[in-house]
Amino acid sequence: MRRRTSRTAFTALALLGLSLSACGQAVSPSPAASAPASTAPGASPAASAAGPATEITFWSWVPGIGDQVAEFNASHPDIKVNHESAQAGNAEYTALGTALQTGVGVPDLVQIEYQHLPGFISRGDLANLAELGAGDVKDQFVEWTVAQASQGDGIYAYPQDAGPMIMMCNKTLLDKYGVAVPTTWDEFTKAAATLHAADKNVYLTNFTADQGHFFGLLWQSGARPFTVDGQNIKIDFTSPEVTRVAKLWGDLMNSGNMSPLDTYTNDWNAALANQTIACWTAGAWGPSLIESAAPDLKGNWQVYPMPQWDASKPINGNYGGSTIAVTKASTHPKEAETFARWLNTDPKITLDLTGGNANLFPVTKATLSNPEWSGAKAEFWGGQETHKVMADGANQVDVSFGWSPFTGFVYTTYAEELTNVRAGNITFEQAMQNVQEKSTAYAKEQGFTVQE
Amino acid sequence: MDSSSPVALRTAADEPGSGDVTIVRSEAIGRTAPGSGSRRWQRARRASVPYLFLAPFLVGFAVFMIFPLIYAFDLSLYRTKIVGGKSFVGLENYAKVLGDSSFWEGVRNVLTFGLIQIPIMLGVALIAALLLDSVVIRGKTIFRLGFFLPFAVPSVVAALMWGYMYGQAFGPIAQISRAVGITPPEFLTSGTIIPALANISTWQFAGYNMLIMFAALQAIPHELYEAARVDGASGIQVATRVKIPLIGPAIVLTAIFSVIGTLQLFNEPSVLRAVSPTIIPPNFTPNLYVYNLAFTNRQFDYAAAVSFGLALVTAVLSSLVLFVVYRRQSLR
Repeated sequence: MRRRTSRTAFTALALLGLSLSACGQAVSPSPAASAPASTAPGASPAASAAGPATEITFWSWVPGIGDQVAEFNASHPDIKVNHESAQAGNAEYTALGTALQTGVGVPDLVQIEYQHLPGFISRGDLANLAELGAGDVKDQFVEWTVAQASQGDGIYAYPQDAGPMIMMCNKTLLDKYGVAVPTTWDEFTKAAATLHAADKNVYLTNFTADQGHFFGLLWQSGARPFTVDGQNIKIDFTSPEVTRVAKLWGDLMNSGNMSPLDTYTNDWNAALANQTIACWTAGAWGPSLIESAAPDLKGNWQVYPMPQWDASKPINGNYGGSTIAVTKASTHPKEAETFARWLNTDPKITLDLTGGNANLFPVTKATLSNPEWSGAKAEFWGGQETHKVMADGANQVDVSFGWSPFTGFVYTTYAEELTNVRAGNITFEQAMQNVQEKSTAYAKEQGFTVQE
Repeated sequence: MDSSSPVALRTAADEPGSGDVTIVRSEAIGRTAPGSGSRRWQRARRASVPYLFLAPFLVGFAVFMIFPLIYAFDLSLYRTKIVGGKSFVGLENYAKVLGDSSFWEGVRNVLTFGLIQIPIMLGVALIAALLLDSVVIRGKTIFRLGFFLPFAVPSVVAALMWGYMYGQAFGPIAQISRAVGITPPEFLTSGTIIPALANISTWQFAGYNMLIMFAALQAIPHELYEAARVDGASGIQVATRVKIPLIGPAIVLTAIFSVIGTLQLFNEPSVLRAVSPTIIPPNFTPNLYVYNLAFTNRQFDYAAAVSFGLALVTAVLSSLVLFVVYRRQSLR
């Protein structure tokens, strides 16, 4: 018996070892580490004519961005950018983290979402583009996007795209029940009650559990959950700006006036299509999801600005978007910066990237005000000039909102607490208190000085 | 040369008139005769033969099991801070595991899951195995295959499939409920998620466990059944008094496997988390927690420590099952 027990224990350990070794494989840098990706046919002759070009590697998960890379390679014979398609989000950061740790296969340029920039900045992984002349072009971007990529005097990435928050509503459905489109959160709560009272199958909205959405709402409330200054950090999840967001959604959950469905699920798509959910707040990239979920409701939907806490002082938040950073490990930071600058500020390129497969939301002032983009009439949205609403939203985003250098932990903790709220174990406000405590403990453990 | 094996020599030499073999033998002796030192060498060589055969396995075992374990253990002794970098912290990470409510919450979830799921699954498996083994069933092969089939479905696919079945809009259960005019039951809520997951695992693994038990049943000598019948035992009595006690070790085996499998629960909650992110937290099971620590929080060192914590819990529980089972047996 004893032998068998120890063998079982050993099997367990062995299984564990297996799973860990499997993890180790998953971590290794992207499979395409050495394969030169999409290089345009036209690019190579130009490059070879001018002698050996400096080769730099670029990780991005934007679909179709290879076209822009090819264009750059064709017009810049002295630099050859090798695009490697990365997996979106965490998968890429894991690969990047491993590459940085081992020093093998570190890309020169890498796509990083806004909320994860501070982590890489704090670890000293990114080159300071201000030293490479980023100051010359920073005014071309919407101010808050550069602020998101900056710390102190340093600029650590060029903004690529964003997701200023908007509200999308099935106007026809709201009209049917005589409910006006809410412009304040107060009206939002009331509309939720009125609509559900009018038809028990219909809801104004559901709760989007995705962390980015909730932090966008905090941002939109004027909250500053994290203020980072080097190794000092201030954490605040108990401010009135945080509490009012938590209370609003907690109350909506308990009231029964909000659909219990989760966003991005089949059931949610179905609810949009069969008109049992009327509105959704999301980033400016949201409309394409509505279009694919409810293609039959063309002309019924409209894009609106976010409901406000104080209608006289409109503030917006952001949900999504990325930047392009140059790694400190890059041996060609100058060339890398040249490409990153070109990709994110060239008027033609930034406009091109708003269409096609990339479908990015622009962050340069020039493209945001370019009538070719802003004046576009959205067919599904009843010919509405939706980009105008979004551009207004983009200009209202609070400049001072910052992320922690450990967004992964904060997101996981929030998700954990949210399930407790949903299960009815704690209130949403208590969940915020828990996020506060756990983040504080974590920040200390990670070597930060936490300002109380 | 394998002819140096003494067993082989003796049997060969015992055969009358096998001249060739004798030559081989004399050769072998001739080669190893001089000095006692070479006898020791011979003995050592003889002893090394089994290891030579085991070598391919041992190499694989060392490379793919022992080394990762050592690597992970080494990892777990460090802490990498965002400010301050990597430093040796000894067993500090393990101390943290002990007080980590996120980890223990996950352990509690899988234990609840196991308490519900394992008895049901093994019960179903046992009944199915007994039915298939009894003479009353026709078309055994079809039943056996059909029952085993879910095991061939990858667990990710199984979870996706059940996620669809549980769905409130398109799910067949919800659609049928609506068609007959009743409120569709909700499967993916905070209170029902563990039974919902238990159902998926039971569906998937009952057939596998049934097969183990069925194989054990097939090995029981038929004389025992005849003897029982002569003594006047009914079909059910044969099952409960003869069959079940005799396949006891097989049932214990399936129980141990199930305990280990339960603690390793990952795929099903991971897949269903996509459709119910507010119901299944990222620390729903210890494995899910480890995964999130490593790949979302990038805390590889602490993730390694939690993994060993989980291994320890698994070892303790498996021993506990064995202890309970064998103690009861010895009391009887």
